[in-house]
Amino acid sequence: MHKQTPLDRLAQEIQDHLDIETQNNLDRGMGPVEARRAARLAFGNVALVQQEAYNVWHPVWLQQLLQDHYVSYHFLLTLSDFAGRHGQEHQESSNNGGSRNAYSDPVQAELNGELPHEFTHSWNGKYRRPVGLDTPDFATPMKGELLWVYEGLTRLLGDVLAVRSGFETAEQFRDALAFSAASLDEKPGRVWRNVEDTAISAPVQGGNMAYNNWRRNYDFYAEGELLWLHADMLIRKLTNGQKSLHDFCLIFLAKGGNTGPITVSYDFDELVSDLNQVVPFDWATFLHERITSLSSHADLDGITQSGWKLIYADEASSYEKANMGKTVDAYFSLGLLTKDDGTIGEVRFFSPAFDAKLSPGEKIVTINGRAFSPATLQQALTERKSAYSSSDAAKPIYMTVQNGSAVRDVSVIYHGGEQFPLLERNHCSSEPAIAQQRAKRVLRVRSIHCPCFRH
Amino acid sequence: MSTRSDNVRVELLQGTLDLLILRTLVLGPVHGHAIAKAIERNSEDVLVVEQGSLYPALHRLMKRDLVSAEDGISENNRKARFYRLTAKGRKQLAAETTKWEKLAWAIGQILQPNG
Repeated sequence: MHKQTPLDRLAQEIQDHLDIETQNNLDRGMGPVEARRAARLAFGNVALVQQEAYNVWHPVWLQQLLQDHYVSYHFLLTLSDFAGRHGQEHQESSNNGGSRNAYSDPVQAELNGELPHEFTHSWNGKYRRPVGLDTPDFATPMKGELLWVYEGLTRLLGDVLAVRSGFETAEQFRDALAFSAASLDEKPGRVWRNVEDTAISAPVQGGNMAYNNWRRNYDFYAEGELLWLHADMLIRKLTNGQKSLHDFCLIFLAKGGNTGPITVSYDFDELVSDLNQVVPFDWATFLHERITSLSSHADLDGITQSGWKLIYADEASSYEKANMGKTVDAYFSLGLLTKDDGTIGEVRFFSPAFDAKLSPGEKIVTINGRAFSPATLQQALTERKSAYSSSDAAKPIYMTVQNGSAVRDVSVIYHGGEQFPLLERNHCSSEPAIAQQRAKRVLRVRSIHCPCFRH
Repeated sequence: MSTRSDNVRVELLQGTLDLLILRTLVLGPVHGHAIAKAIERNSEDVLVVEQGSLYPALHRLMKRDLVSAEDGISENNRKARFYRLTAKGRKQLAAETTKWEKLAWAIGQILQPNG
């Protein structure tokens, strides 16, 4: 039976206190919102009060002796359209930001995975840290070649936590995974720049985002997530479902036992050694191939082996719509992202738009003889689709493009219609094809390595 | 804690809040919110307790057995936690009050030697 401690009723007591103060304020003529706000102001920081009361009974030296990873974890969350989305991890807290309506608007809520992500960093990143990032002083430069672990594994674990803790639905997670997997799969820059190099160059990334599909920037996040998802599937396969990535985390995130808030660094060899403790395999080659080799396509085996496949449909997922915001999204079709006035923000290398020599900074003025708008772009893609019944379907998409004071005509040869990535249940699964029900029509399938073909 | 009259926050000597809480409990068991209000009222609103700071202070006093806590019903019929002065707390209050009076007198002598 639980022994009562003086701290047991503290949270309720604080709530009662705030209720009384709020009622007093209401009695003095304040409105409900003002009354509650004034009560909170008079009280001060609730979390700090709880922490200080806790410290009375559990002195800090004792807490460290008892080796808690942390005594408490605090989220600072700013909701502001001005400050925008951000996340900064610490071991016992994080500083997070979302839009003003991040938790009230259903569209904005599609993007609310950052709190579980930063929370995960308390272990993977702050406690276990790549040796190159665990510098002794501020004068020593950080070396980020293992950021695909720091950020990539955190992204996978944080996304799983986001679903399990209710920040996202499983469907929202799959939509986000489909989008990031497709973005990597349709990223031409992967033929010259490997994942490790995106990690090493992390400190000098940023700036103008144009042609990021060729330059690549922070791809170690999403590449790392796919890598660790694949590793998870591989562990399950090698152990006949007896073990998973969870077993790796039990080893990797428990070095030195249950310690207090300290940093324990690791290197590539430790990752291999820890994975081999879970199940013997040539993990060094597995990891090296995915991090240092060049490949024209992303590693989607983690997705396919977990029973899903990447498909393209003619309607964007709610996640992709939320992520794009006001950006006009024709990335996976024409290879274009534009503002709603037609100004081109991004052109995917080797895409139909790239072949037609469209460039970021130019402005599409007309499209198939009509003034540019998101609707006329969508209409043009539909009219020129191979399956479209009109004889116009075989024609190029005609655009008038403005660059400064110069205007020119451009013909874009493309007949694939709109294309947006989704995950669909593999046909050999007994689960219902959720994505198929949602997509108006499946246009093409990127990965068909269904495990049942191998028998 | 701050003084309201000149709107300038004043750091009081450490332990002062604990002393004020002990003094407030002399008349009988009181819940947290009422303690805050009593301190404000009895100082004629010069001392304003940041209400949350009361609770760590109450826990400090409980840990030293100067105060005990029990569940009861508040004036508006809600369940509340009432704090009561223990015999040890009563002795401590007397000792601390004497110390405080000596300290206040001594500082007054220095600041206003002819007063």
